[in-house]
Amino acid sequence: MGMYTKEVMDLFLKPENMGEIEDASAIGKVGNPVCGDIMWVYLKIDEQDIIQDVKVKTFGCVAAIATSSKTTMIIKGMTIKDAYKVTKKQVAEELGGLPKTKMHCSNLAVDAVQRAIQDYLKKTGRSLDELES
Amino acid sequence: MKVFLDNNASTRVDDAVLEAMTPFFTEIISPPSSEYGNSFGVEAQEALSNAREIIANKLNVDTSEIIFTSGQAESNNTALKGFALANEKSDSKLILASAVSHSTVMDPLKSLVKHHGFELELIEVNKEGFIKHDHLRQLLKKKPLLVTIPHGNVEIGTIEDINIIANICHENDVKLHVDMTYSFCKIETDASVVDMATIASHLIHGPKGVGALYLRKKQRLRPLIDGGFQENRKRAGTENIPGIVGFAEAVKQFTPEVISKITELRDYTQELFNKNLTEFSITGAKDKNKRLPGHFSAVISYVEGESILLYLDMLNFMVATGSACSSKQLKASHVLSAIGLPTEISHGSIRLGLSKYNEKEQLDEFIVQLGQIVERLRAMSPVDQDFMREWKEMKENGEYTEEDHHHHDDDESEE
Repeated sequence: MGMYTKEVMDLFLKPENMGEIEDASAIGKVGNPVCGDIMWVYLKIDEQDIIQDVKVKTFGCVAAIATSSKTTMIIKGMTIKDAYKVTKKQVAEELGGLPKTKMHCSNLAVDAVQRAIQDYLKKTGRSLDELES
Repeated sequence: MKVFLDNNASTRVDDAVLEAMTPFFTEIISPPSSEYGNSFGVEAQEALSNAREIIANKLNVDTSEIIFTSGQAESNNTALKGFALANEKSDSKLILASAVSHSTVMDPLKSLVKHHGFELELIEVNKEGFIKHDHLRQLLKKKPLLVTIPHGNVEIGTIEDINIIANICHENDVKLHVDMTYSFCKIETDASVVDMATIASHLIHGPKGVGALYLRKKQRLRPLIDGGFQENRKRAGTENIPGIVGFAEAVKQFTPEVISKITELRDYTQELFNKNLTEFSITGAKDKNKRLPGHFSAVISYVEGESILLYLDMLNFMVATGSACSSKQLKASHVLSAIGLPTEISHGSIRLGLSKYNEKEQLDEFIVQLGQIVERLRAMSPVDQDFMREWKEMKENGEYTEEDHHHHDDDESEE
């Protein structure tokens, strides 16, 4: 057994929801090439604020690919309010844990989702406060 | 069936080596003794002398100049700390090291700086990984105590011309240590032109945990390990006879035919990369004859090395990478940085070490798998030519600063 759990390796080899959405309601981009992990999350959100579809494009290590895919699997079908509350810890736990060093630098998709949701609210003239309650 | 393509990390022990070692585990069990010992001791002593001679001959040095050690790390530590501490009272406290030295050279030097008041300066290398002779000459004016360089570089394969470097150092009356771990037996070498040299067994199909240090006659050295008369009082401890016998047998087995084969495999790998992959560049010396035989390294654009490595591993191909994401500190390889590769490029690093146990058919299969992996990873990546162009502009316009780039060491959730 290497540094990654079976859940991480399985998802790395067969990641779900990879790609982009042409007519996305919002896009969230995080990371930079020096750090080595870059994730772009695409959300398709309906009138009830439900995330109907989500896709992600990822550059990075095994952890980056597995966590970004897992994040999309968690938030698909959620309201944006619930999706906004998903944490990195939750993503890591659903993958049976992550190596310590990979927890922050490669587990960025949650940030990308939050960024996309903020972007969506701004675009539609709504306040970020409604996410807080 | 697993295909091992990481032979610059370690190698399979040759059957003949194993056979030569076995009696020294099970039959000839006394430690070597030159006189008054039992007959096993005498046999062990003969085996030790014989091995020492084979290794000394290979390096073109005297048998009295060979100190057996536990391998590369111990030889490098012994050479650097041992030499520095034996010369602690000297006027100079400066040691010069090639910027692409191995961690088993860099870390003992850092320790000498931290705990013993020595100074360290790095000799710059060019894009191919060769030491800049002008920079070396300039630094030599500061009258350093010692210079250390690698002969063949494990990450990029570049082979340094040690005759020229030795001349430059000796003209300035400065001693030279060369880490020959990765070139030993692969490049014909006259080690007598340098003052100290490190070699190891496990990269030439010998056992792990054995190596040697060549130390020129009359040169002072403070041992790292005290407590016995062994190895001319330079390295205490019961000699690892099976290991040393295996090491010498491995040297004998590393024939010109083996060198031809691994050179051919390296050239074949390069051909396969050129035919089957797009957007990659080979790292190390441009002239392949100035790279280690059996060594191939490249950076592949828009993909990350750890992902490639673990993907290949699932398909039973074992390779290595210098990507930041695969290191414990999440830092890019200092070698790839020293040859001027920015982190965003060195992420795509991959390197192969080919041995006599590899075959072209394995490489044919490997390149097909690698091609598919790269294609798959690129398809899911937001990074492409356009992305990199924009990124380059951002960097040039100062829109990206180092503060944007930091890693967290803690394991706390962000809530």
